[in-house]
Amino acid sequence: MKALMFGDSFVPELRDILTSISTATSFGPNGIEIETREQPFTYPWQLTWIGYDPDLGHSRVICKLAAERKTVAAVIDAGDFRKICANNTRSRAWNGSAHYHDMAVLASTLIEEQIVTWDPSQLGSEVRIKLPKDRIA
Amino acid sequence: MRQALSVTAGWFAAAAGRPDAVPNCGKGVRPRKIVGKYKAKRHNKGGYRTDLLYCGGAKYGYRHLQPHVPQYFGGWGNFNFSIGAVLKKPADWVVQGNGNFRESAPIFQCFFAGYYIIWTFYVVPNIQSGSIVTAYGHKGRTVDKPCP
Repeated sequence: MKALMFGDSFVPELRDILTSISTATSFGPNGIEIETREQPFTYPWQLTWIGYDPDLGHSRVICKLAAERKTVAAVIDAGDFRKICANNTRSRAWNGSAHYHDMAVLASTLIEEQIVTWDPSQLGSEVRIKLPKDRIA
Repeated sequence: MRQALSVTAGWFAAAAGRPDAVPNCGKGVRPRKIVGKYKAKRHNKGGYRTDLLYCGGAKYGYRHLQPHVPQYFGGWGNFNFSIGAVLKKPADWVVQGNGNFRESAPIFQCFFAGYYIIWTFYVVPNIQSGSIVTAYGHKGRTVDKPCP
């Protein structure tokens, strides 16, 4: 059986999101704005590498993120996202992006959930990016 | 060791953990069933909008975030309370290129024994629709003092 593959647009779109600049605002306890700043989507992490697995090709994408002298590899397998891995769909129910397809948006949200919002000391060197058990995209 | 009944959300607004019923998003329930409505601060404007939690599916809504509920403290009641607290009064608000906001605030878990744990609770709503994509809490440091 042929392995599932990511569509060609997936890596460029995911790279685009992960290297994009977000606008962040902090508020004080009274709800008053303290500061607004520009920061990378992955802040405080930094994307150091993104591409296909050298051995598995388009069926696995690896993103390397670094923070505080630690590097974590986010491993994304097309087989875990069989309905959307082609990255050619846009679901209006949850994808609010005007530019990006479902697979790229979902992967960016899951990388944020599983790596970017964690303290580096709480993570191992590799995180398999997938949906909660028994749910297949 | 006994956990205090109150949870301090954000900074000083104490609120009791409410016994909210766990949403019914079982098999066969439609994805667009609304299981939560939250008063959410508007971005760059005064006032509030209503952000909605749908049953959703694998990629958004209650079905997506449900595995995070037992990773937090206090079950659905506290989780639901924390979603509402963060959306109403976020401490950090990030406007992201993937079409989502990422809003967060500290939540204090207070213990009668005289210490507390600082969690950071995140809510990710869709910028345009206000539909909640996901939410989760991450455990932070323990402070060896009574709750502020």
